[in-house]
Amino acid sequence: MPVIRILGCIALLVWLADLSRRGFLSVNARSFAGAMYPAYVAAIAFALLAVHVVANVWRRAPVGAAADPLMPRTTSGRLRFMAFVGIWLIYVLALPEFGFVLSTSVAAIVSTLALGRFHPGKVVAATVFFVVLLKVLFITVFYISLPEGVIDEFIIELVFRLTS
Amino acid sequence: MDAVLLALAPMSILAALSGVVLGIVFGAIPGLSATLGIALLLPITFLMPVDTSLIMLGGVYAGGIYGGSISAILLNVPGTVAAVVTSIEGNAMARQGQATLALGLSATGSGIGGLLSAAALLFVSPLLASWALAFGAAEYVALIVFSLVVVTMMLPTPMIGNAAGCFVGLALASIGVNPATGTPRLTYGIYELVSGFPLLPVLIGFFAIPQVLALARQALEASARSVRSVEQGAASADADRRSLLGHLFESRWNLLRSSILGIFMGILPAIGPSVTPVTAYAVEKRFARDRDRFGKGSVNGLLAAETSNNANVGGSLIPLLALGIPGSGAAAVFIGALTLHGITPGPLMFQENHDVLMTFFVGFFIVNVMMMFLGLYGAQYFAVVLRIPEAIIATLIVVFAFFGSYASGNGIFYVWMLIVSAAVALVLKAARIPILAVLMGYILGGILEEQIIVMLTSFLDPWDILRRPIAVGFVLVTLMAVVVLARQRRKDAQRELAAT
Repeated sequence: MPVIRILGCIALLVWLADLSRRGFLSVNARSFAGAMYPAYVAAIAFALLAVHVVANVWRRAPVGAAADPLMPRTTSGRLRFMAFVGIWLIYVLALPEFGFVLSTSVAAIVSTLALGRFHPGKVVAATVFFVVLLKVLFITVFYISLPEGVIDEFIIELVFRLTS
Repeated sequence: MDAVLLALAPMSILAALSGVVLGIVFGAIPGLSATLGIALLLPITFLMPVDTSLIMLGGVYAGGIYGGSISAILLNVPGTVAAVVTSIEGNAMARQGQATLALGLSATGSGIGGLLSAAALLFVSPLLASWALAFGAAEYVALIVFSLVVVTMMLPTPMIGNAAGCFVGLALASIGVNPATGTPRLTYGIYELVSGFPLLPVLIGFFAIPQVLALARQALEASARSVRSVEQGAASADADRRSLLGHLFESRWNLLRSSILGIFMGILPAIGPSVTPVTAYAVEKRFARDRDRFGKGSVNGLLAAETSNNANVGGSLIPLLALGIPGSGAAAVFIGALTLHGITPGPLMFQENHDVLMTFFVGFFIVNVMMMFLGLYGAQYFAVVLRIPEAIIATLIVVFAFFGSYASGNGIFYVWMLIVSAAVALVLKAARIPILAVLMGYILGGILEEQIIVMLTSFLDPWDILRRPIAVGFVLVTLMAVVVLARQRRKDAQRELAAT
């Protein structure tokens, strides 16, 4: 994990350096007062961040090994943690394809079972009920539009038939 | 009068009540916070009238800061950072069989602090806004620089990291449209970034996802909370409540001192409700007659902490509404609600949206009264939420975070932005760079750049700034703040070194 965190810091530094370079090279730079603002800001951010990271590494302060660890200590805990993070990343890809109700139900069930020891049947029933209730609230009360799949379309049609 | 009627309308009352209840729930559960509650509820407020949504979010903010005291008193686990002192004094009282008294003192102290800060919000912010109407570009630049310097100097993390955080935030804010030419810049060809890095996914990503990952880890490490002590606390003697008024009367000057301190510290940027109770506690220790009781269940210590942290809530909203500069992390998230409704916080808001603000100010009084009574009579019922397993809380927060980000821009791009923001927040956390510094830079970056361009265009000579006395005043105050705060930091560091 410390390696990933240090790589994250390096990625942030690379991004700031690139932002500064783009700012300095932009077509209309120097064409008006304050045009160089983003370039200077990114360059100062890069310099300060680099000094901060180097100073922390020098002092052996917890850069890359934060006092509060991200992952659990046990192997099974780490696997379950990764399952939790993984399912929600897959969820973002699945949401536009399968719609809100199906994607959210599956992701929430897997997520709850990955993090805790619950009766699977109860988790499935409670989650599906909660997600469908949310969907109905979004349609009828909050008017929030969410990605639609087959089940979502069915619920929308049912709600409109019942209310009209 | 219209504002009072609007604030007393059933919809506003319902918004205040739901905001306070949700806020107390968020505050009571260790790991969740008022800031997170406001960030998650922002998308829901989109279709509400702006005054109603502000009242609801004000309820979440006040309730969230108070709610942290419930788990602090009953379980010795501060629900929020603002309740750390409460967990020392309040839990000591609970262990001596005075749980009901401690909960009552916490609720009334928070309510009184909140009400006094609501009064300050009502009277001070219009005065500050009318003064700020005289500001030109130079004054705004000097004020924003002052705010960022205070953030850099006041946050407890290393100063260079704080400054780096502010500049990372300023760099993030420079993505989007060039304010001078109107052309896109630094967008990497991504069309959606033309309107800038989207505010709502950034707020949710910064505050919700790191918290969710921490909750997930807690759930897997099975650090079960002791439900037994909750039941003990709830069942403790009800007779304590009778002595509540007596204690409040005896501590009247403490309540006033702590409220004023809380409001003042709220007005200063970056000094949120987490630092305030520690300062108020230290101040009260000097004034109190029972200073030997401090740390062993002191009524004065508990009241100082609880009064000051809720007084800080209204205080932090004063610079936000009057000047557009947030006084705390939660106040910074508040900007999201205003932005969603197309309102820019600042002095002009008092002219263009006067009715909205007045309704919110009256609503904020109602919120604090509700919070006090809900705390007095329902604290033990709120303690029930402490039984909800972390696994379920973490899953629920992710669902709301994802749907909130999607709904903010009606596209999956905004969910990806949430993930990117969360990754940035985790990297910054690992590098010991405070998120609050980044957020302040990000929120103030847009105005700062616009005002710098106007200032540079209008000033023919650099010495023109001497013709702007307010701007010169801000520059001098900034220099003074640097000297004073640098000395303070050095003293603190020497004290820490001596202690080790």
